[in-house]
Amino acid sequence: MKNKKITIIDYGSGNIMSLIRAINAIGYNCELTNKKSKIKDSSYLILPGDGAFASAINKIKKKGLFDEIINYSKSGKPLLGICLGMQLLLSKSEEFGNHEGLSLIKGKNIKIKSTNLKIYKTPVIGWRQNINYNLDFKSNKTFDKKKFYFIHSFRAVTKEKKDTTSYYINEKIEIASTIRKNNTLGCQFHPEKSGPVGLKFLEKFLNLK
Amino acid sequence: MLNKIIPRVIPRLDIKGPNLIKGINLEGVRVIGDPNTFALKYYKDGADELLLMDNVASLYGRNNLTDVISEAAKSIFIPITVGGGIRSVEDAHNILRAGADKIAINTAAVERPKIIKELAKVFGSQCISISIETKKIKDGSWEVYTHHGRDKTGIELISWILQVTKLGAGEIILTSIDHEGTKIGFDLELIEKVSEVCTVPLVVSGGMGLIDHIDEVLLKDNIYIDGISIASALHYNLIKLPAIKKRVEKYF
Repeated sequence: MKNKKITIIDYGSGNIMSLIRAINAIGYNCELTNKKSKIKDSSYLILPGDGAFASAINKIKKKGLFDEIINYSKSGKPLLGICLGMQLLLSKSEEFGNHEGLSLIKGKNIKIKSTNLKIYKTPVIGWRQNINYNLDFKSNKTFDKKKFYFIHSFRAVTKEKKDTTSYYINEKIEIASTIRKNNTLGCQFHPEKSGPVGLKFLEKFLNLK
Repeated sequence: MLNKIIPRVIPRLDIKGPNLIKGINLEGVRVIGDPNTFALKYYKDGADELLLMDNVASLYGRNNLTDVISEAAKSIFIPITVGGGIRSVEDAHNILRAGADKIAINTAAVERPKIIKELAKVFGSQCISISIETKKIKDGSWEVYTHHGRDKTGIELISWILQVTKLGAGEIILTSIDHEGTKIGFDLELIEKVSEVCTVPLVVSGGMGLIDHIDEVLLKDNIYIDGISIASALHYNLIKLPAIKKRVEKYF
């Protein structure tokens, strides 16, 4: 297996095992750690996440990783936030009160709303079709119309429209599927749970320069 | 195109010890084979999710499912929901750490509904599915059962769904005991009734025996489901998973 200095930030978020296995399945080693020096030295950094925004940010702060992640992102090396990890990249969240995020991409997280509650339920749990207009993984078509697995009740809204690089539609509303600013990326879906197409997405990320 | 959500197709693997099993009407157990062989096959065949249920865990107050989960999580990259014998935050933590994405609880929720709130607080609602087994009773309503259809609870189904949702459940997995293992099709009357009140994703289980049963449940007015869980029809190879997926996708 190839070594690429891939680091998954360990701050006590849920099912990390699947993410590690997925990276292994692509053919790379990775390390789960909360050591600042390791995070700083990594070539690819992944910020996982599930559950509540405030609790995740507090755990990150408690472990002293808040500034470390910001500094890493500023260095220009590739960073990927997954699910709640993506939402943490934004400036703030309205999830049970207002909370400050990492502010690496301007925007906020708001609750998913629908008018027909019988059809469009929350949390959104399931496979949704990604509509990709500017993912910028060299070939823009790679993930267009592909289905990924989503599980969330809040959605990211970037301040700059161009920072939202793909979306899916939930009762006429465009829900951010991926966001990106420079080499800092976020995906609302779980690539490690989206079958072969998800693995392909991770592989593309792990080959960003 | 239907104005509905495309449902997940979820093979359900009932597990006893090291074996994949299947019961009829949730009673009378038959050994089918190695759960991981089946799980991997379903992943490769395009399953949207897997549901693993430890069928004896709640009877004996234990859970030996973590080995099966760890093995599955090595090579299966779709969500895995796991149920059976989860009674505490610690149990849930162990299951999730082994590689599960969601936990399903039934007996523990009936015995102490507050556990739903406790679990949702720690892991988030999206992680907590409530598995409900139900059976139609004489007055025309449905009663909630536990222990794989063995024990009555005296709880009325609709009030239970409202209660668990309020407590923080993120999903309902609904099994019709009357239809389970019969291959006569989904319990449409039951599912319509539940669709009326259910505001979290609804996965339905029990009765799938023919590919046309997919059309029945998808095309019926006033039925809004988010997942279809299938066990014996798949395990006994009566219907193949790619055919089911194809039939579902036809409408979306």
